[in-house]
Amino acid sequence: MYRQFRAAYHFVDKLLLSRMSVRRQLALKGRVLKWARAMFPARSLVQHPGQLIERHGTDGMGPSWRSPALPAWVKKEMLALADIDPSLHPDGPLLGHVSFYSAAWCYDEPGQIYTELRNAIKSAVDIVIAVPWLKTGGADLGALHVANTLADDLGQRVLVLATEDANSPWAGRLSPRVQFLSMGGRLNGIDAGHQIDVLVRLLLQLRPSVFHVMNSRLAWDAVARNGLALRQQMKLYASLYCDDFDKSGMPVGYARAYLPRCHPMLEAVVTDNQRTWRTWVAEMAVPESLFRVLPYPAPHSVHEGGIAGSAQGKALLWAGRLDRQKRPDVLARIAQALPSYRFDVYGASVWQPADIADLRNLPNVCLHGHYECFDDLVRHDHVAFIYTSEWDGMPNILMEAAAAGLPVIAPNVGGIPDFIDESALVESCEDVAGYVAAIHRLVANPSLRESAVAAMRENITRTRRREAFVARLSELMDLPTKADENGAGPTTDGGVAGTKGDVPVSG
Amino acid sequence: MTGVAASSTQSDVSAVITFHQEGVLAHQTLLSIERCRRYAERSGISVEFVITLDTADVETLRVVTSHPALRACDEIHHVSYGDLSTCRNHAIAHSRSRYVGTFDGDDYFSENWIEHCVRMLRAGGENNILHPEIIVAFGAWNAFWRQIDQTSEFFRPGALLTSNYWNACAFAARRVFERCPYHVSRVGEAGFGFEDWHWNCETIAHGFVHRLASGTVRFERRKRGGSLNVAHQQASAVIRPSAFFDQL
Repeated sequence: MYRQFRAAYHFVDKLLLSRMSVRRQLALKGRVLKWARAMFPARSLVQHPGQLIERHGTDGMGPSWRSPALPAWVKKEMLALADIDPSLHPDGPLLGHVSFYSAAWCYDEPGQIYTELRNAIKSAVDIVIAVPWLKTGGADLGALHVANTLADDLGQRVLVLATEDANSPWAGRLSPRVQFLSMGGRLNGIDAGHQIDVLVRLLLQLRPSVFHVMNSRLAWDAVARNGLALRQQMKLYASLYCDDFDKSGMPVGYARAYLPRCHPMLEAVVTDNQRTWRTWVAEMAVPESLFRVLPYPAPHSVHEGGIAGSAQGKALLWAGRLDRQKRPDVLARIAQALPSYRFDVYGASVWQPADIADLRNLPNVCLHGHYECFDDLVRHDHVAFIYTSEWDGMPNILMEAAAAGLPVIAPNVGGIPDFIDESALVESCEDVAGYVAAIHRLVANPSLRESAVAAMRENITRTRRREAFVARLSELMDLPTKADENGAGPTTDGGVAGTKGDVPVSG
Repeated sequence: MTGVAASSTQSDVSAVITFHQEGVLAHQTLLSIERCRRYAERSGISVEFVITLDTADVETLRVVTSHPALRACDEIHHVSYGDLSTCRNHAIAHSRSRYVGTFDGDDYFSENWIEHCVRMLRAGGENNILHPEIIVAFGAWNAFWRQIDQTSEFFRPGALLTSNYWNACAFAARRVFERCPYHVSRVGEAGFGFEDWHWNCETIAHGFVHRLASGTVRFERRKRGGSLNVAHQQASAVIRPSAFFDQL
């Protein structure tokens, strides 16, 4: 059926459509494309009617229902040039092999998208940050911290680009000084290579002094393909916090996929913990000097100063995304082991209901669903906050629990030892007995609750104050001093032939 | 510079020809451009060759410097830029003519190319940049296509984000090349490439108009390897920032 449709289209195109004006062709072929998509959704069709318009012409290239032939005057010229280069002789093999090349000269959709996005950026920018989206999540919170601090405290003109076709409800948390542009929806539908073309062109034309990749796949692809060109115009940073692990336990994620080939392009990789980057250095041989640890600031809490919950309480709090990483199955086993305790579980599930059936079926587990504010979750009878992630960077939620005055029982994974002494951590997230023992210790010894919270708060005061974050961010982004601002601006390489050197790759 | 012989006469056209390691192919190239020159001269148009030999190998040096087509008015510049754009800028800076045509060291043009371009520029104004109507690629890839006239309905400014409408060799008043010099394309070192694509964008941004010289053809040799264009494609080069993309 599809073949007949395609043959009929080509027949009508050659006979009729290709003789029309480009404007009319675009309109009619656009309609045909819509029908084709509706009729053959499984077929991979061109994306834009512009790709269906050929520069055939009918003047001197033969009838339009056949592929154009080489004009006679060109053949005559080849005959004459054969005196110089016999391979051009029109009776030679060349002519038999020369075919008409039809390029999609009228396909301008990526250019149109670029123009729309470029026009949506209202003012000059110093720093562009690429995120997939801005919604609930630790990485998103990190992006908000970085963008807002750069704009509000360090006087930078910041643009945040959301590159996935998804909502960004947290965009409202950006400072009014930060420009935000959601580009994923507009890019959706064009070829992946052209999506990179649009982003790279935006960056090259905007000429920020810094481009910071914060978990945007498109941005990583842009660095992988055109990082060398980009770094002629701007410094490239990336934020990476931890690996993900696939079902077979293999480490995956942006660090594994992109660091080996992209690290020479990067000025620095910003991370939130002292442990994970060492794994990357050991396992991928990326240079140690690449990494800069930036502890994110702790949140404020209405409970600040006091101890929340109670050692005599009969409840425990768990909050987070219900997915494979956070190991709700481990939580279910802990809850099974402590049937006299109520487990308040908050957070949206990205799993099917069947995947958390164990948890759902336990009588002492209350699944409360999505939450907005951690402070609202803490109750007077909570003994502790339970964290069961199998892998992580430095989870913000632990700082929220500490700020709220709730002791934390967490595994020794990722950057958690940066925040809680290893001796106070459960050996691994699989160690259900370890969790149970830690809970019993807190219940038996109320002063342990207080000292645990005090230790975490001391860590916050020492390393995670907002002032320290601002200073550290300023230092690692090598932001211009006042003197620089008055003098030289960001590097601009005009590149007129022979006038300026290039910035080589590092590493 | 090695002058073939000193000459103070100003020609109408400077044929800027860049060689580096074309070897014996340079012989045929110069013969074909000489053919264009003789055709132009029949219409009273004088043409000088301004040749650059950029880190040329011994064979290319031998073929070019001893070529029978060279005349007193022609110039040969021995340079070691290792860059096509810089060579063109160098040659254009040393040219003395009102019009400039850029030629690659291994391509051919139809006999009427120079004459037709001069006629069009004289009649239509020097704001135009001219390209051959048809390109015939031969060698590693054999194909032909019609180029796009900027004033035609086929021309879509946004398409220049992903496609280059016109390849390297162009013909225009010298002031066009002076206003818009070629930018260096060190793809391996800087990631920027396709200097011709960038030049096309820049010239449009400066108000020049790319037109076709109808009835002209360029025969463009496609190599299996070693071509600058292929190197740029393989390296996923991107063109430098251009004012054109600020005006879209």
